[in-house]
Parts: sequence; C-alpha cells; structure tokens
Amino acid sequence: MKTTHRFVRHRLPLALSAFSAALTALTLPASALADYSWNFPPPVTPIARDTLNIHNEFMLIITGIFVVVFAIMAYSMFKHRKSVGHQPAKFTGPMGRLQWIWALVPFAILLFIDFVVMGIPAFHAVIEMEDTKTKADMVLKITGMQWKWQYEYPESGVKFISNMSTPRDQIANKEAKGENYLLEVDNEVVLPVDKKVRILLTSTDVIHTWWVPQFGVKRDAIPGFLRETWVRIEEPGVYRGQCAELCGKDHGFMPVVVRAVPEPEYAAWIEKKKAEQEAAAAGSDKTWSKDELLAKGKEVYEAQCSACHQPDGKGIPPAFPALSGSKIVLGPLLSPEGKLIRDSHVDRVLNGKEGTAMQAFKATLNDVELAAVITYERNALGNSKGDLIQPAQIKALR
Amino acid sequence: MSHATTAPHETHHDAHYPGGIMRWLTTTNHKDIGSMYLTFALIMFFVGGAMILAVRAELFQPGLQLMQPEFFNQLIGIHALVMIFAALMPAATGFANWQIPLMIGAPDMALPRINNWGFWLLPPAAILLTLPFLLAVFGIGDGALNTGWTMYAPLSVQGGIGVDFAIFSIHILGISSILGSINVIVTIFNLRAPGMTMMKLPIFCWGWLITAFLLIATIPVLAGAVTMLLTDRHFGTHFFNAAGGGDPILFQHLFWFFGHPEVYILLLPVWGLMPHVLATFSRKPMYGYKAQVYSFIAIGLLSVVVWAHHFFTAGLPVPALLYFMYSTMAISLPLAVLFFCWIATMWKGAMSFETPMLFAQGFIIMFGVAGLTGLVLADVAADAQYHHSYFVIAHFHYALFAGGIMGVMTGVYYWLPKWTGYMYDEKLGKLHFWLTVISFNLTFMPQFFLGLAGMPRRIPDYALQFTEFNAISTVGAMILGFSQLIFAWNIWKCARGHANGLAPAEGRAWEGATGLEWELSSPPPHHSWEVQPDLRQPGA
Amino acid sequence: MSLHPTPYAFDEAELARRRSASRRMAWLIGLAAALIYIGGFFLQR
Ligand code: HEM
Ligand SMILES: [Cu+2]
Ligand SMILES: [Cu+2]
Repeated sequence: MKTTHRFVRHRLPLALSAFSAALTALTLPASALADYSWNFPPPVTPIARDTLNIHNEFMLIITGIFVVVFAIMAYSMFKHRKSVGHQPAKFTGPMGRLQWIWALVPFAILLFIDFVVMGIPAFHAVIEMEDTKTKADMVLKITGMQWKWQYEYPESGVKFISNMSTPRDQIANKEAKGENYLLEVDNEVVLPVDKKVRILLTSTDVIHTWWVPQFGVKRDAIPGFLRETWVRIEEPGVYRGQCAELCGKDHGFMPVVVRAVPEPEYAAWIEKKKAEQEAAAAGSDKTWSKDELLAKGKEVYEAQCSACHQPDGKGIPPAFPALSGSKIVLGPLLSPEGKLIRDSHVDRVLNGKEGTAMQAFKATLNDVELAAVITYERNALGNSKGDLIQPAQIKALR
Repeated sequence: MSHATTAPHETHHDAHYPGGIMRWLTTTNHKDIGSMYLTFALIMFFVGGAMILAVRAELFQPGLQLMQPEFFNQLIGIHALVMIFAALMPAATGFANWQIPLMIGAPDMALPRINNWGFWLLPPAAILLTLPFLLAVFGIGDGALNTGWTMYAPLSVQGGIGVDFAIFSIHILGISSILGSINVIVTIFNLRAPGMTMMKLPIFCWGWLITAFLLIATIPVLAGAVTMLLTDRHFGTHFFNAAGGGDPILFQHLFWFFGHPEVYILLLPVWGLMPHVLATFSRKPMYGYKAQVYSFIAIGLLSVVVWAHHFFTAGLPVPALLYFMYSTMAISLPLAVLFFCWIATMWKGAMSFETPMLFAQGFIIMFGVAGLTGLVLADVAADAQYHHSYFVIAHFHYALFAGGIMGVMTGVYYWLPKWTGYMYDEKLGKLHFWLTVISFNLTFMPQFFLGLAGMPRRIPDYALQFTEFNAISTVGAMILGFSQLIFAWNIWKCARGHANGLAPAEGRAWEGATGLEWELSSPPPHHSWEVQPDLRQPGA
Repeated sequence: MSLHPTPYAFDEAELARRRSASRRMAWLIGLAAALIYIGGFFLQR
C-alpha cells in the first residue's frame, strides 16, 4: 500500500501536466510550431478565417475550463487523501449561502460561455456561411460520383471530370511517393480570386462531401438534391482537399484540387477549355478509325473504368464484375436498326445499372469517349470481338 | 457506517443447477446471466479491438500495405458495431443484471426467463454480423458491411450481402436490448425493498433506468430505419431514393434520432456507477444525489432533440442549424452538474487510490476532454472543419473509450470482489490502469491534430503530411490493445481466486463502501436477497 | 447506511403479485416499442 501511494503521488502530477501541455498545444497559433499541422492550415477565405478564429477562441476557453476544473480536482487529490490523515467530511450537498454560490457560479459562467461567448460569434458565422446568394459573382456546379468530381461552369458551358492522378504503383509502394501523393488530379478546377463563387453540389450515386480545409468549406453532395455553399478565395494558389464522406471503395482516392488565379488568367483558361470542348464535339461527326478509337478508349478506360473493373479487366467479383470474357461485353452491339438493345454492353455503359456502382456514363462522357471506350472494351482486356462503334452512332442514341 | 448486521446467509445455495452447458443455456439466475453478459462483452471487446488494430497497422505508413480499401471499409464499420452493440452495451447490461437486484434488495430480476432470452439473442447476432467475413473467404458474397457503422443510404443500398446480414443482426441486437430494458424498468418499479423510495434508489439504478427508457424510445426507430433500408434494397421501395420521391437524408435523421441518444445509453450506466466508486474511495457520502438524478433525466430528455448535429454539413436550413447548435450546447449544463458532483464527492474526503478509484479519476479527466471538445463540435461553423475528420474520431473515443470502456473497467474492478469472492491482484490492476491511460492518450491525442490538419476519417491511405501523427497513433493503439490482455488475465485470476491464492473478499469488500449490495456475503447467496431488507425504519 | 432485515418484509404472495404486475407492465412497454417501430413507416418528409 505504501508503495502504491508513492507511485500515485509521483506519476499522477506528471500525467496531469503532460495532459494539459498537450491540450495547450491545441491552441497555439500555427506559426509558433514551425509547421501548421497542429492547427487548421492557413485560411484563404473569409469563412475559413472566421472559423479559425472561432476555433482558436474556443480552444482557449475549453483549455481554461479544463485547467481550472482539474487543478481543483488535483488539489483535492493531494490534500484530501487518507495517507496524509485527512478526515472525511460528511456533507452531501451545498450547505449555507456560500456553498450555494460556489455551486451556482460555475453553472452561471458556463451558461454565459455557451450562449454568449460562444453562441454569438457562432450565430454570425452560421448566417455568413449559409448566405450563398448575396452578391454572388459566378456559379460552379460540382457533381460527386464514384470516385471523381465533375465540375461545370454553367455560364460558359465548360464541363469536365477531375480524377486522382497519383499512379497506382505509388499506392502499392512499388514506386516512390510524390510530394502531393493522393492530393493531385488530372484536371484541376480553376477559380478566379476575389470573386464570390456560389457552389452548387449534387451527386449521381451516393453521398460525397466536398472539402477543402483552407476554404473552411465542407458540404455534402447528395444524389437527387442540390446543396449549396460559397467561397471567396483571397490569394492565388493551389488548394487541396478530399472527399469527406465514405462513398465506397475509392473514397480515400477522390481528391479536390482548386487552382485560384487572377481574373484575366481565369478568363483565358475558360476560353481555352471552351475551344477544347468544341473540338471534341466536332469529333462526334467524323468517322474514326479503329486504331484511333482503341488509343482513345484505353485512355478513357484507365481514367474512368479501371478503378472498379481493374486495369486488366478482371474486376473484383462479385461487386465489380470482370469485363474480360463477359457475356454482356461480347454480346451484340446494337439492333439491326441501330437501336439500343436492353441490358447490352452499350446500354450498360450509357445508362449504368441501378443499385450498383455502375453509373450512367452518358451523363459524364462525350460521344467520342463513349464510342472509344466501348470499342476498347470489346477489343482489348483479353476480348477480341472485332467490331467497333462510331461516335455518330452514340450521338444518335442520345 | 461501520457496523451492519450480517446479511442472511446462504441457505439452499447451489440447490438445483443442471450441469454443464445446460446450466448456462437455461439459467434464469441474474448473477449467472450477468456473468455471461460480461464474459461475452469482454470477448467481443477483443474481437472489435483486433479488427481496429489491423486498421491501425495499415495506417502506420502511407500506401496500402496490408489490405485493400474494400476490406478496410468492412473493418471500420464492424469494429464500431461490435464495440458499441456487442461490447459496451452488453457490459452495461451485465452490470445491471448483477447489481440491480443486489442494490434494491430483490431476490432476482422480475422477469428471469426474458432475461435469459435477452442474453442468448446476442451470440447469434454477433455471428450474423461477422459471418460475411468468413463467407467471403469461401467465395460467397463480398464481405461484411462496408459502409461504416452509420450505414448511410444510398451507399448501403448499393452494398453486398454484408449489409443484409448487418440489418438482421441489428434487429436481433435491438430485440435483445429491448428485452433487457423492459426487465430493468419493471424490476426497479416493482421489486424495490420496502422503504426504498425512488429518491432512495441507488444512483446506478437511476442511470440504468434512464438508459432503459432511451432504449425503448430509440431502438425501434433504428430498427425501422434499417427495415426501410432492407425494403429499399430488395423490395423496390424508395424511402431513401430521390428518384422515387424519397430522401437519403431521411435515413440520417432516423439513424441519428437513435444514434445520439445511443451515446447516452452507453454512458448513463457509467455515470451511475461513478458516484458509488468515488464515494467509497473518498470515504464520504456522495454529493448532490438529487442534482445528479435530475441531470440524468434532463440529459435523457435533451438527448432525443439534438440529433441533427451529426450532419450539419448535409445542408440543413439555417433555423434548423441554429436550433440544433444551441440545443446541443445546452447539454453541457446538466453534464457540468455531474462533473461538479463527482469532484465535490471527492472534495474533503479521505481518498485512497485503489484501481477502481484510479480508473474513476482517469475517467473524469479524459471524459472531460470529450465533453469540452463536444462543446466546440456543436458550433456549426467550426464543425464544418471538424466534421468527418479525425478530430471527431478522437472526440468520440475520448467519450466512448475513456468514458464508456474505462467506466466499465472502473465498475469491473469495483465489483469484482463482490462477484467472485476474492480480491483481484491490485498490482496488475494498477499496471493495467497506467498502461491504458498513457497509451490511450498516445493513440488518440495525435488524432485531434490529424483532424485539424485535414485528414478525413474512413480512409485507408493518406497524404504524406499526416505520416508522423499516424505512426504515433498506431504505436499507441498497439500498446493499448495488448495492455487489455492484463485486464483479461486479472479477471480470470480473480474468478479462480482460490486456485491463485488470492485473499477472500469480505462482504463489504471496500472500507468505505455503502449500499445494500455490501451487506451480502461475497459472493452473494444463490437467491440474492431471500429475506427482503427493510428500509422503512430510518437507520440506527 | 444501516439496516435491519426483518424477515419477509414482503412474502411469497406479495412477491408473486409484484411479478405479475411486472409482466403486465412489460407487455405495455413492449407494445409501446412496437408502436414506435410501426409508426416510423408512416414518416414523410
Ligand atoms: C483499442 C481501442 C480502440 C482503437 C485503437 C480504436 C481506433 C479506431 C480508429 C482508428 C477508427 C477510425 C477508423 C476510420 O474511420 O478510418 C475507429 C472508428 C470507430 N471506433 Fe474505435 N477504437 C477503439 C475502441 C473503440 C471503442 C471501445 C468504441 C466504442 C464503444 C469505438 C467506436 C468506434 C466508432 C463508432 C468508430 C467509427 C466507425 C465508422 O467510421 O463507422 N472504438 N476506431
Ligand atoms: Cu468519399
Ligand atoms: Cu450526438
């Protein structure tokens, strides 16, 4: 028993102080600790700045409460112990006016902290955060889908898909990991600085959550519904985040990369994108050779399909069926009249399959991409069906 | 407090047990059933722990080393369901079974057969939950529930047979919980010793009573939600499908209408037992009994009206955001009353620091971290950063591990001498305590920082800036996990106290212990209180 | 706390009475739970 008490006397204060040290660390400003992984990354929008301030203030408050309350408890643990011969008191509640004050004052302080010190700034922050419409300069529509983001600029009609670009070999530890491991994409979304961007969110399959920590914005993308939020980015730069709602197999590989640029640069980028898109649209009317289709198809397959059906087409049955030797893939292409056959290869790719991760790709891919990937799947991945489909035929099916 | 009449001694002890396995299958004795619940909970604690240690091992370094994302997603969800439904809840029910009759002066629970059924529903439910892992090995289906324990639609509509197994398992677990709750309620209402008014009811029983009411009110809602999920999956309904006029967010409302009270379902039994332990080892009566009872009731009521704070980012209307923010903050007030009473119970006592007391004090401090971080999580704006990040993982493990599991450990060490008749090994107990607190903080403190730096939860691989904290957390988790073997060993040793040469425990195993259960021998006789104690005459 | 157990403060008959009261109460609570469950299916949003 003696040893026990000594043990407690020496270790307990140690543990306690380590504890409060750790808690204090939560509240230190970023700069004090060399790198910022102790706190939120540097904010670049008004919301993120507010949020960081609120967070810092709250952390200070709760650390204060923590230290005071447990200092009292620690004092008691030192003084009121049997081993120092303290005689136990008998009270079971507040007795007399003074003790009632002792009991009620902390309660009143907490009430004040909750609803005034914390409650009022929180109120204003919520109102600001939810005000997506006032003086919005532009709209960005974001669609989450397993496991990539689609970005659309309704004013200019620009629309594209953004996939993670980290090579699978880095994930499998076969290759050294790059600086932006898992937080890099093929198509960055570009936004102008100092503009209020109203962001609309939805999803084609399950719930995803769009999150960029430096924007202080996190909002769900819900299938069948529109949700909104907004950002006003104050500094040019590249900002990275990722999906925050478990959305299936590759939830961890669904990054968000935003490049914020000055207005003129943004306008130029939009023009460039528009031109690219028009060129692609023109492609639907020309006749493509099989080799062209196969080359393009391989590209599309690797970006859109291989996450589930695997690069070799073997899939991960039963959730993700194999395409190599698949009855559907090796079935007929179109009806003799050039119409869609139900549950055929083309139907699956265009319209997806409800209740599974197989989505309707006609919503996200253009005619050329669809024709190319269908042709590729029929003539690669161990299949050699021999036939091909032209972008124009896809266009006719729309 | 020193003299008490010895309790009536065992008369027809061991009178009519069937032998072997039949004894356990058919027993209606509250102590046997309590022991089975506790044993089951301990086993499942290790099962759930093993799963998450595999997860932590995968997260030790960036890159995928040990498993593919599909399997990772199964482990995290089943870990949570196992820990909540198969470890923490059964442990609390085990306490209820053992202690409530002893504490209120009853011969047994009021409905002994229902009690037996309640327990025996658990093992099949646990098997259903985990069976898909095994089936997948034999090529049937694609493994267990892979949606996280929250099973959000439409991800869960998309999932494989693991989802169906989980749905059935949850139904069975729910029926078991409801049977257990009914038994607790009717036992407390009908079998209290003469003279034990509700305001003399031991506070542990009060905690459990509120838990039981919360279970009755919320489990059917969860069951309803997962039934709807089942019909959406297989029978063409569209409760959660926008294309058919449904709403995925409805699932979140229903789930969290259960899910938030569930947190208090897990914690109220622990808050109930804390004052007993603190009073015992402070050798001083508990402080603010009435205030605590009223706080329990207030928390119970508040808990069913704050659910939407779990999906602030889903895009709720502003008035709803404000309402759920302020109502959540309001919970801090009754909670503060409890903290005040716990500390005031120790204040000016004559404390000694046996293992249960160490766990109780560790509980208070670390549960304090959970409560305070919970308060900031209630802030809608800041929550946009915390939500679905590792900050939340850290927060609720301070609540559920440091609050729930360490609370259960407090109770186990406190009552083990009563249950087994032997004093457990104090040295091992202390070793267990110190390893647990230190490694617990090593595991979960870094996760707060990971969350702040922007690491989302439920990801099998992460960007390079999260490497160091993840490595620390994994080291902590391994120590934490393996330290629990000491706990199991200590219990085993104590249960076979005679063979291990442990000192027999007296009826009043702790010097400062008060309450009816300590008037009985250790272990108590077969029919706990064969002669009803009578509390009508005020004490001597 | 100090107490003096007086033999059979409530006797077998009393105990039996309380047990049957418990059973009645149990059915009621069970019914309430079932009603909540069924009620859930009529939720519209
Ligand atoms: C050895 C002790 C434990 C360790 C090391 C541990 C660790 C973890 C980790 C790292 C995660 C996050 C996985 C992820 O989202 O990527 C997690 C999730 C979770 N844990 Fe634990 N945990 C432990 C004990 C418990 C206990 C005792 C409970 C509850 C009684 C619990 C409840 C949960 C819940 C609810 C989740 C969320 C799962 C989900 O995302 O669906 N854990 N745990
Ligand atoms: Cu996701
Ligand atoms: Cu909650």
